Amino acid sequence: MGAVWIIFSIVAYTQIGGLPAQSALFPKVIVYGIGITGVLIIIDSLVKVKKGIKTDESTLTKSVLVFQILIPGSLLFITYNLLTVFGFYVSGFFLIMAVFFYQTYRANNTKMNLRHFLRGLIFATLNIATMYIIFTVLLGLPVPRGSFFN
Amino acid sequence: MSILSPSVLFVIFSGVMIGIIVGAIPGLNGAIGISLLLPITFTLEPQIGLLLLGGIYMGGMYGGSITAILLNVPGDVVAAPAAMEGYPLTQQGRSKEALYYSIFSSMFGGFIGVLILIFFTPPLASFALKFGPAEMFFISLSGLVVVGALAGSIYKSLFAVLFGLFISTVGVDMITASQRFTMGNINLRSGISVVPVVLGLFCLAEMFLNIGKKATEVVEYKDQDINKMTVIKDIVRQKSLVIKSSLIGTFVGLLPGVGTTLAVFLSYGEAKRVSKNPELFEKGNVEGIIAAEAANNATVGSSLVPLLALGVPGSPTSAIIAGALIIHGVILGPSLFVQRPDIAYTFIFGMLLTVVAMTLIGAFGIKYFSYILKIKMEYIVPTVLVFTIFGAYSLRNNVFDVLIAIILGVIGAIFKKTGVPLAPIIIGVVLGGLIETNLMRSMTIANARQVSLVRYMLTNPLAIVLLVMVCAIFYVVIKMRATTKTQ
Repeated sequence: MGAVWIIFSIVAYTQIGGLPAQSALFPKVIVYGIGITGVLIIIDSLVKVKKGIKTDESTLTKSVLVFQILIPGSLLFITYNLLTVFGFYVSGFFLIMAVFFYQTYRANNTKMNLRHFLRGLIFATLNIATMYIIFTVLLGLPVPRGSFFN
Repeated sequence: MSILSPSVLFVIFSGVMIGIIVGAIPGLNGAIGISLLLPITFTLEPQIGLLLLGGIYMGGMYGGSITAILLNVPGDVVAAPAAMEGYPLTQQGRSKEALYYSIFSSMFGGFIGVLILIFFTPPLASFALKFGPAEMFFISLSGLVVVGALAGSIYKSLFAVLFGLFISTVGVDMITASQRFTMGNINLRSGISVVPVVLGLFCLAEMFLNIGKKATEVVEYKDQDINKMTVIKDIVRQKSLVIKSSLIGTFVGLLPGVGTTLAVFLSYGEAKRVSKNPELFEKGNVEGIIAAEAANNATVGSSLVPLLALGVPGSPTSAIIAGALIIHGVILGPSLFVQRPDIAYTFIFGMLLTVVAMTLIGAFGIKYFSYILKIKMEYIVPTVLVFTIFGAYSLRNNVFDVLIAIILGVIGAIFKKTGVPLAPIIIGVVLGGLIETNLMRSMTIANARQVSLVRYMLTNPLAIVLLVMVCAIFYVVIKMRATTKTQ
C-alpha cells in the first residue's frame, strides 16, 4: 500500500511542475505528505515484520475485489454511460434490476427463476415510479436527461 | 419562521424517523441517510433543510442501538456497547427494557448536547469574529486532529486526511487561475464538490460491501412487559452516570474531528470502572447502555458547535451538514450568526425539537422496530445506488459528478477493506479550501509587512493560544486513543 501512495505522490508531483509557485505551494505540501506517509507505512511494516507482529489489517481479498467492488462498480459505470442515452429513469430501472438479481445471486447463490424475475420487475417498476413521483412530479428536481428519454 | 409551525415540526419528525430507520437498518447509518437526502434539501429553505438533516443525525445516532440490542448487530461501531449490554438482555426476554433504557438515555444525552450547542455557539462565534487569517488557519488545522483519534494505523489516517486535502485542491486556483490536477478535463475545472465525494465514499462504498450479505435476521418479538416510567425513574436515580456520560460525550464532541466512537467507549469504560457490579458488564448491564447511549447522543449537539461557530466540522456527519450549508450558499464560520442569524438560530433551537421527536418516536415506536429489521438487503442496495446517482447529479446538474461518485465509491470500498478510514477524507475535503485560503491570506499579509510567515502567524497572542490549543487537542486525543485501546 505504501508503494501505491508513493507512486501516486510521484504522479501527482509531475502535475504540479508548471504551476505558479503560489498555486503549487499547498498541493506540493500535500503531495510530499502522501509520499512521506507511504515511506513511513513501508518502514512501519518492515519494523513490525522484524518484531514478528502481525501487520496486515487488510481484508481485501481477490473475491471481495472482484465480486463486491469491481462488478458492482462496472454495473454503475454502465449505468453512468446509459444516463446520457436513456436518461435517469430508464438507466435507474436497469441498475435496480441488475443489482437486485446480482445481490440475490450473491446472497443466496441461487439461479434466477420466473418468480424471482417477476419480483425484481415489480420492485424496479414500483421503485422508479416512486422516484418519478417524488423527484419530478412533487419536487420538480432535474434528473439526467438522455437522448431518447428524460 | 417559527420552529413550532406545523411544516417545520413535520420536517423534524420526518428527519428523526428517517434517521432512526436508516440507523436501525444494518449497513446504513445516519451519515448515509443525510447524504442521500441532501438533494431533497435543495428544494427547502436552508434552515428547514438543515433541520431535516439534524433530525436524521439525532435519530440515526439512536437508531443504531436498535439492531445492536435486538440482533447483536451494531450498525456502527458506536453502537457496539449497546450490543454488548443490550443483546444479553434481549436473550433474557428483556429487549423492550433495553430499548427503553437506550431511548431515554439518548434523550438525556441529546438534551445536554443541544443545550451546550445553544449556550456555547453564539458567544464562541462572536469571539471568533475577531479571528484573522492566521487564527482561522490554526482553527482549521485543529479539525485535522482526527488522524490521532481513529483506531488503527495512524499513517493510514494521516493518508486519508491528505487524500481529502488533495481532492480539495483539484480545479482552478482562485488566486492565479491556473488549473491543478484537472488533466485537461473541463469538468474538473470547477473542482470536486463535497457531495459526490460523500455519496461515493459513504453510500456507494458501503453498498458495494453490503452486496452478497444475506437477508436480515427476522426478530420474533416476545418480551416481558415493562413500564416506561420504571425505566425513567431508574435513569433519574442514576443521574450522576447520565450526567457524567453526557458530559464526556459533549466534551469529546466539542473537539473538532474527534468523533463519537471515543466518547462512547470512554463513557462505557468509565461506567464500568465506577460500577458497583463491574462483573455484570457484557452480561446485560443497563449501566453500560445508559453510559454509551447518553454519550453518543450528547455528541450530536456539541459536534455542531465548532461547525457553526468556527466553520470546522466536529464529526464526519457534521462535515456532510457543512456540505449542505455550502450548497445553500451559506458561508460557514462565525459570520454565519451575523449574515444569516435566521438559519443559525432556527437550526440550533430546532435541534431541541429533534430530541423531543426522537424520544416520542423511540418510546412509542418500540413495538414496530422489529419490522424495520425485516427489510432485505436485495431491496436496500439497488434503491440506495439509484438514490446516490440522483444525489450526485442533482447538486450541479452535471452527469460528470456521478462518475466522480462512482470512482470514489470504488476507491472508498478498497480503502475500507484495507483499513484506510473514510471520515478524515471528508473532513480534509471540507477543510482543504479553508486551510489553503487562510494560509495564502497569511502569506500575503506577511509579504506586505515584510516579515516571515512564521513570524506573522506567531505575532498575535491569540494565534499563539490557538496553536497551543491545537497541540493540546492533539495530545488529549492521542491520550484518549491510548486509554480506549487499553479498555
